[in-house]
Amino acid sequence: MSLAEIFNPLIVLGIFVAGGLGSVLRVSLSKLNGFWPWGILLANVVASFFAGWAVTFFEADVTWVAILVVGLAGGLSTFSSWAAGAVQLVARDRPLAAALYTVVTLILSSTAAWVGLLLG
Amino acid sequence: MSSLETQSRGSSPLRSEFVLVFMGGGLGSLARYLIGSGLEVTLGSAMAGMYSLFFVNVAGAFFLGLVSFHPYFANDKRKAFWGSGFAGGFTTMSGVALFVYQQSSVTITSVMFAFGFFAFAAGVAWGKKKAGLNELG
Repeated sequence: MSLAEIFNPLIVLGIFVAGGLGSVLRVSLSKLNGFWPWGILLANVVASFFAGWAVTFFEADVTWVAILVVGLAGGLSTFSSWAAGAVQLVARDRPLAAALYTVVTLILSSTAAWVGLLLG
Repeated sequence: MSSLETQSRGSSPLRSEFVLVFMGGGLGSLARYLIGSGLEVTLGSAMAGMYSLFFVNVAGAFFLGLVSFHPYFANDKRKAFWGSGFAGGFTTMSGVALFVYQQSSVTITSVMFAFGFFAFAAGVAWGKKKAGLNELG
C-alpha cells in the first residue's frame, strides 16, 4: 500500500463519514442496555456480520472494503465499550456475568463474521 | 458553541449528542485506519493487522476508562465526543471477529481481551485519582 493509496481522499472522507454514522447507530443501540449491555452486544454482532459480508461481496474493490469494513463496521462495533461493560459487571460483584458477556461477545461476533463471509 | 447559541437554533440535547458522536466516531475510525495503514507500510501486511488491532483496542479501552472519570471530561459534550464517539470509533470488535476467523488465534485474542479489561480499569483508576476519588468501579 502506497502513501497515495492510504491518503486517497475518497477513502479518507468515506471512512470519516461511515465511521461517524456507525458510531451514531451504536450509541442509539446502546440505549437498549439494561443489566447486560445488550445494545453493545447487538452492535458488535451486527457489525461483525456486515464486515464479513462486505469483505466477500466487495472483494475486488479496495475503496468500498475500506469504507464499509474499516469505517461503517468499525464505527458500529466497539471493543472499549465491551471493556467498560465487563469491568462494571466485575465492580458490581458479578464476575461470572462479566466472563459470560465476554465469551458470548467473542463467540457471537466471530460466528457472525463467518456467516457474513459465507453469504457475501 | 455555547448552550445559548445551541438553544437559539432549536437543536435538542439528543441531536447535539449525535452530532458530537458522529464527529468523534468519524475521527476515531480515521485514526484507526491511519494507524493500521501506517503499520502496514512499515511492518508489512502479515503482522500489521494484529499489532494495529491490539494497539487500538487496548489504548482505546484505557482512554474510555480515563474519559469516564477524569475531571477534564466531566461534561456531557466531551463525554459524547471523546468517549462514545472517539474511543468507540477508534476501537473495533468486527476487526477482532474477522481476525479470529482469518488467523484462528484464540490465544492472541484472549490476551487482547485481558489487556483491554485491565487497560479500562487503569484508565478509570487514573481518571478517578485526578478527580480526587479513590474508589475503583
